Amino acid sequence: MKKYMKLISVAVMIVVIYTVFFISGKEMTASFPQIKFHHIEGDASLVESLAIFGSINTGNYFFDETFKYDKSGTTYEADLPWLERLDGFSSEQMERLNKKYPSFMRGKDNYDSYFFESDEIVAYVGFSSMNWEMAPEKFEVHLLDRASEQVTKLTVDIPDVLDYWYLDIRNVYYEDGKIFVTTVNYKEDAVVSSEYGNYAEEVVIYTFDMENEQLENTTSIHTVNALEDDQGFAYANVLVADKDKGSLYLVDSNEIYSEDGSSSMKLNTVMHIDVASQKKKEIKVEKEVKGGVPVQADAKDLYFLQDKDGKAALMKYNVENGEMISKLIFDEGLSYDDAQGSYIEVINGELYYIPTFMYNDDTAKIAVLDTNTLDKKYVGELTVENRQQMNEFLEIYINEAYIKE
Amino acid sequence: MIEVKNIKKSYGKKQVLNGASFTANKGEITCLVGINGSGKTTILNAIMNLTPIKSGEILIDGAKLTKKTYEKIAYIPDTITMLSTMRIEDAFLFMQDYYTAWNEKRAKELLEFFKLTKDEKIQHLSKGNKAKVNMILGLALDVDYILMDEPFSGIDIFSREQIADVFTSHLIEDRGVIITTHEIQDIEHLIDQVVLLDNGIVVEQFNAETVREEEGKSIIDVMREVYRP
Amino acid sequence: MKSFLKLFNFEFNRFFKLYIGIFVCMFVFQIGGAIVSSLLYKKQINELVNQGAGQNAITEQMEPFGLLDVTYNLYFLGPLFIGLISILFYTFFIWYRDWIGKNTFVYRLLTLPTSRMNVFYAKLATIFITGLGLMAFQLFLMAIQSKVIAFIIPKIYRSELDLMSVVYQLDITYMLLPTDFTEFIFYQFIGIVVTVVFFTSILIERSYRIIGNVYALLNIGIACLIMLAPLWSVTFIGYNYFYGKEVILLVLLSSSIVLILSLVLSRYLINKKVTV
Repeated sequence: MKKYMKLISVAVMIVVIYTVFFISGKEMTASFPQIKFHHIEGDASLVESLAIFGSINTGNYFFDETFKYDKSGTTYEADLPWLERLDGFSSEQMERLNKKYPSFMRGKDNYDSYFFESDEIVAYVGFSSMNWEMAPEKFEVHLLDRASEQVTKLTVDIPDVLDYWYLDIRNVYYEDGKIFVTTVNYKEDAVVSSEYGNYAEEVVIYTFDMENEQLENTTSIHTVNALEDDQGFAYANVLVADKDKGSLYLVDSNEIYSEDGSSSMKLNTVMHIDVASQKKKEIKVEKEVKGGVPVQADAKDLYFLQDKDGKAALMKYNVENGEMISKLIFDEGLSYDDAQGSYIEVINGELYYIPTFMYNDDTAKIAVLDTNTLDKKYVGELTVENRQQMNEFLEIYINEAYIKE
Repeated sequence: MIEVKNIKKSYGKKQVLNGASFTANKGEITCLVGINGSGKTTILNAIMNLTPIKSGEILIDGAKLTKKTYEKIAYIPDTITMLSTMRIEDAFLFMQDYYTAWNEKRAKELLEFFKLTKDEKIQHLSKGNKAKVNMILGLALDVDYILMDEPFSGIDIFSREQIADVFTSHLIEDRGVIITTHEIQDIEHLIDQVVLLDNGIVVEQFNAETVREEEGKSIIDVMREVYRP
Repeated sequence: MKSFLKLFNFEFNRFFKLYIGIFVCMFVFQIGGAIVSSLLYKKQINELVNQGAGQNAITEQMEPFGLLDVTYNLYFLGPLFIGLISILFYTFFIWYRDWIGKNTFVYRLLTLPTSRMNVFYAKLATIFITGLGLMAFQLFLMAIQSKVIAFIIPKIYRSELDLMSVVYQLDITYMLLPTDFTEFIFYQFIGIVVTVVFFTSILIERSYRIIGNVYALLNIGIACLIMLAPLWSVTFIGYNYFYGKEVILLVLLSSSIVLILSLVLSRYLINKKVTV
């Protein structure tokens, strides 16, 4: 027995150390940041069931930690058992679909904008390619009938694909046996040649007839022209007004660089698109909406984040009657710069403002605004506990905020 | 009885054994004779399955070699088969651990006979003493057969004499021994069977005593006839 | 079974001195490094204090100091790599040491009255346990480093990141010490399969010598191809096709195939083809 001593001691060391390690590993994320909302004024029930899916970086980590937050607290991807962690967190819709239809979801890109759901069907449009760079070559169009669990699959070459550097699927809509895909296609501008990837952006709607299994129609809706590299950047913003009706807004806007290094937004065209009929209707909007980053839309309104003398305001533009309301998001004034990149979204008929960047000294305020009047219905503070005190700032990247009962 | 039947083996292009056959009986000392490179060591290795053969058969007491056979046959190669960092007693412990055939009492006897002590480290031993310890590791096993490869090679004359003494003792008596050596003169009087190898085959196998009595030739005489006709 | 344990113990004991040497080297450099860099940091703090800076000014200027700072360093990674390379090296040397030079110990090992595969398994077990022990010791050292830092650096300047989080965050430690037990077992299994493949290659070389080198490399190549099949096949099937769990299952399957084939081949080689 004595001669086995060395081997036994090493074995014991291994067992003891690893046991302690794995047991304490269960507690690991307890020291990670925990999100909390503190009430300041208004109706707290508006954030009670608010859930967030995103990633957080407190500067003291090497990489972002993906998390989900809901009323029961903050859960990190690191909390998941390994086998589930391999697929990671994804949006509420993706997790639901992956769980319910695992074989239909196989091989699909998990982007919300690639899917459309109704009570009867689930529609998906994605890309496939056989080249090494994975640049899109064909459309993969799949339609699942929920009741029969039958799947119709269609693979179609992307028309004129060689003209485009890249395509981005912004919306999928299904109606009467047809799937409509709205894409933003990036191509070299006819006039401007760019070194920095300033492309022209063409908004196209492709109509797929699922009964006859063919691409029925390709409609080019609008092309946003590129700007010169030193001038600025052009964007085709596609905002979903009503996803169950295939109603979209397109905002053609430019980010213009000024000489002092700052930039401002200029609106060129705003139009409403009915996807099923591919009809577009131009909307007259005041062109010089300073700041004016389009952030949201719903059935009749467009919302812009505005720069009002350095402070952040929301501007609501009613497309039917042209009425414009503009209000500061917070009374004390949140600076426009700080508001940039914040998460602004209409959820369940309410307009939420959630900050994503927090300096040590500042408070990070949340607001819920009335979608009609832009009045504040709730103001609260987003705090993060277990922050490393010495860090200057904290950054949250929000993929999705939603109401979870 | 160890039967080597028609074994062939080559190292690369060189055909070392080309159908060699002979038998070695229990209770006899069989000596393999041949010039350097004639395959003597290869045959011993092959019997112990330390090297594969291309064709042919080797039977020990009528059966092919299995792991249990290693309790019946011991091999004493020309260098010591123990870690040189071990002391002699460590080597004995090792043998005792793995072989049921290990006879500790006999090992101690032999140690005394060779005038060695158990706490000497193997790497510090002289070449002669190493060879003696190597011997003990083989002889202290209660096996039926012992294979020895050049037990006298490079050993001083006094150690040689001591080792040769072992051959006459009870330690060898009932066992079957296959030995390869160049120093025939040391044990010529002890050898029972002689197997002459040349060009990968056995050119002659004979009983030393019979030849001496009937033809009046010594082993070396026969060798001269065969190798230098 | 008993012979296996005896041989395992024997092989382990042979390596023990060098093994402990690696531990000592890791201890000295890693703990020493933790002490040195903690003191350096403290010195910087003290300098700022001497200049009259207030607490807040200091915390604004300096980043918090913690285990992560000590581990992303040469005196941490260096000894760890040396340890890992040593185990890797010994994976091969554990066989060749019995063959090279004047050593004929391989004669002894191959003529023991026990299955030759016990020799194989004993060497495999030695590599396995020494690798595992190395990582366990590394964990232990990291815990000590944490304590060293806590002892030297005042709490207010310290990063509160605990040991587990650091292990999780650092690529290298996460790979070697996954924080999930299932993942850990999976990697141990893969490690064993890889070691067996290496051993098989060694036996191939020892059976066929010069041309054996070519066959040995071929063996490693084919093993890689099969084991990684679930990963490279996605270029044909589609990169999103398998769910995470399924990929793991498939890798387990392909690795098991490689393991079984390698063991069968090794058994054949060590019993019938290997030559001294």
